[in-house]
Amino acid sequence: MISVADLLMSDRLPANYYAHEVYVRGDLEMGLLESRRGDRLLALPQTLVQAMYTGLTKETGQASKLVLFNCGRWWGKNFYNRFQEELADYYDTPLSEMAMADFLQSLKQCWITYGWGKMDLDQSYHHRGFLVVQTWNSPFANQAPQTGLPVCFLEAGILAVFLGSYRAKNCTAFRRVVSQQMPTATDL
Amino acid sequence: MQSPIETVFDEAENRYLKTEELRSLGQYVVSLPERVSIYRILRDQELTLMQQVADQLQIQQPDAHPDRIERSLKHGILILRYCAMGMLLADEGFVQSRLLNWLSGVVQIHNTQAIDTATSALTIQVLSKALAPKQMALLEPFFALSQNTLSQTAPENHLTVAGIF
Amino acid sequence: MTIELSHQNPAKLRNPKKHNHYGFQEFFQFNAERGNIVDWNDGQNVLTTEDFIIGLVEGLEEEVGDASAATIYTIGCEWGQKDAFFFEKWFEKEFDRNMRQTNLMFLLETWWWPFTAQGWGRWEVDLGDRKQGFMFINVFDSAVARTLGDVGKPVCYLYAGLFAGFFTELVKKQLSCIEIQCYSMGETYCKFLLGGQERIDAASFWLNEGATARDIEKHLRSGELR
Repeated sequence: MISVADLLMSDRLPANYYAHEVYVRGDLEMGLLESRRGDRLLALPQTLVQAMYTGLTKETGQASKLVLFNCGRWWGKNFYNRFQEELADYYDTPLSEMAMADFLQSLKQCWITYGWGKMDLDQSYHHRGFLVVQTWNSPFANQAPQTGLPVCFLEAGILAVFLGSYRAKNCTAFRRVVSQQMPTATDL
Repeated sequence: MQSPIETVFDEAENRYLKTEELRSLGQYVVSLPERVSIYRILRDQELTLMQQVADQLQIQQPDAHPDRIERSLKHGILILRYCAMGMLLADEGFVQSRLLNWLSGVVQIHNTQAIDTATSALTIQVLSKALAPKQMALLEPFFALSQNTLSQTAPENHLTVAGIF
Repeated sequence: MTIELSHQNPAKLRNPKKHNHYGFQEFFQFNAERGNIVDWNDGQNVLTTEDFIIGLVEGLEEEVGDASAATIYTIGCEWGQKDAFFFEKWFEKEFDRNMRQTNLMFLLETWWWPFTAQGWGRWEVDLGDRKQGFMFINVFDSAVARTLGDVGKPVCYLYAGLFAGFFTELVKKQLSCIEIQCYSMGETYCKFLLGGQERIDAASFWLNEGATARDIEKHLRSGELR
């Protein structure tokens, strides 16, 4: 028989770690935002997101897409480590032992709370060896110049590292490349 | 719905509260002792109540894998805890935004709608025996909200570790 | 097809004329259904950790090498310029008066308040030398410097660009900005000099020669230009 007392061994049940009401904290006196773990957060206003596109284009021209992707990769690499630590601490279990479904649900919720829009994983192409990540309401696409070309390079970079690291370290099921669908501004 | 206490703070600088606003605040205050006593019962008897749910659930679903039953019981306990807090604050928004928006995704991914519906029905059944009808009336809207939200989650054909490639 | 985001902050809809709205919960409205965050001024916000700063700095260094500082400064300038337009719009809507006929200190404090709520640190503006054509800005807890830590040189090019871009637009005169003291040099706060290109070039020269912020202040106040 199942004992509820055993289920509640530590008297706590992990729920939505990334609920914005508890995840994001502000200290107005100090001009600081932080996460529930005490890590510093920043809110990028839309004027800064726009400026990243125009500023980089001014300085690096055509290469700006590559630059953004590379910045996204660095961003993703560091963010992934943090995400992993946060989840491992909260669920009190190493990521390698965490159910994939819980990992993905946390990632989706994290995406929402950070205001990056919504994301979902589409497995329709898994027989061809890649995974499609769809994002909606991307603030990056929303603030980028409306050129009709893909613009979510930052997200692509983040996802490439993010899902790549998860695959490499924890989940042999992601056997081949992780690919992203980058929605264009016109897709929205 | 927003907590009646929270709305009171909004416009202190501009105006005094209207008669109906004071009345709804008054109603909340009058109901508060009852809310606190329900909250105490739930807090103190959580284990006993949920063990009853667990026992009946296993009888009802003899073929369900113990992992699924355990998962559903955890969802049930979370719902109970959040509904208790929501009832205390008289704030459905609290339950919706803190728990249900997230839990509906979890239920979808793990495909536990059916068993969660059974757990929820059993919980209400067990609570109805432990609480007076007047008390149950204060708690019920929150369970209705949870059942309603979770029943709307369509089962998803989703990634599992085994099924990716 | 383009889409117009309906940026409407519910707390603001309830109470549109409230000005002291920089309590964190009121300033940001999270829309969990869309996964978007909108601030009091109906601007869209994106939350990030310090990893964003690392990503920007490391990613650029890898791609453009030594030019990364200048590139980040340019991004800052673009940011400041765009923010000046955005600010003018919300300021005039919120306070119902022309930005240019408003007390300067009040105007500047109002501009910086959202940055405080957004976690970019506190600031202090010293307008004492403005008649001579320059001014100093102190930033406490710079997001860039705090992220990168003690690296022995100024690192807050993003803030420098932001000030240059914003003030250039505000006073309609080409201004530049340089960080002359930084948390990343072991100081307790960051100090920026804002002024015409000539003065900024001079400050940059003195800085390279090993001058401290205090030395640079002295040089400038005695009217030196190298």
